[in-house]
Amino acid sequence: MAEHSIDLSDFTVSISYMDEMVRYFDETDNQDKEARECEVTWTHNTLSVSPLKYYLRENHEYWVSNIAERQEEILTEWFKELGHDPRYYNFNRETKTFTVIGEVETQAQKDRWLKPNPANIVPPTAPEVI
Amino acid sequence: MVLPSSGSLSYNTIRAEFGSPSSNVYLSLYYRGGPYTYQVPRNNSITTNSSGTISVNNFYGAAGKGDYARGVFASYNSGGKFATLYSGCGGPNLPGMADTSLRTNVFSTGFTQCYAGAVGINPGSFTMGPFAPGNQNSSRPYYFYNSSGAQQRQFTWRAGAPSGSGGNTTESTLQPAPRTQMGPGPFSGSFVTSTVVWNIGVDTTIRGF
Repeated sequence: MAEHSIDLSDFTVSISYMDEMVRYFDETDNQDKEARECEVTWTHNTLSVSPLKYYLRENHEYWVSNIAERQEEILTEWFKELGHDPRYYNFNRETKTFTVIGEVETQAQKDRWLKPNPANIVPPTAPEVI
Repeated sequence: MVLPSSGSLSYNTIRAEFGSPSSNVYLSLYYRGGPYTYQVPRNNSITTNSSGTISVNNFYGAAGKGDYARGVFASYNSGGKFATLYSGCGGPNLPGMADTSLRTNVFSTGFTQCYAGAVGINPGSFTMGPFAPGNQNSSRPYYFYNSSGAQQRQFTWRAGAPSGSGGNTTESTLQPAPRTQMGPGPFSGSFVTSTVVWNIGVDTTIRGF
């Protein structure tokens, strides 16, 4: 039976630098420039999953979005490595938690689940006098 | 930022522009149309997977995905007598942007909306944005490509269109002439506010520079 919610948020991200400098063209001042290449490593602190990496230029214009995209990929890879199928889960980017699709979580959802058409859904109104 | 257009290009330089999950650098990761390289004119010199050999020389002046937004452009119709219609990406009842980074000139921003809407008998509108502070959309062209690199749509915001600086640029069907029109290419001459125009129906890459 599938677990209802799997929290993968307890991980560490570390950055090390490659020896070789890399080149790029800066369109803001039309100059060729050099920068360090970063090796970014994600390691989970408690689960037995593989450390995974990403390589990108330091101060890359799209550092934040590229790292965020790769992090989501990595969390999904870890999720599969743990034996789960992401097709049956929603991923919450804020909490880094996978939750079963259609999961009943709140008391209001439970109430609705137990009694789909309760009497208090539509407030009572006085009948119109013709 | 892009790769230099001359001089030596190392494998690491290419990897550092496009990004890679692998400690081994291999160019086949960066075939045009693959997960790291959009099918846009700037990357035309990079071969596609189906066309064979890839080499370092393909990468002069090329750029990673960061400059372009991407999403599935679709449509929504509520039905009924006074239907609500939306077409595009990122609007109500429409698919969200899959890639929200978009560069316009030197400004980069988290870009989430590009859609036209018509709610019942109310005036229709076309909305793009949000754009970074300092952005200027007046007379700016935008290009829309499918996943094979074929251009699907093009338009240029009319002179005097709202800049979008720090927010959206929106045009209403009530905008006095001259209004922003599509073209050149498909739907040339149609107004950008038309919901028919934006039902592209496929995964679409957006360029704004």
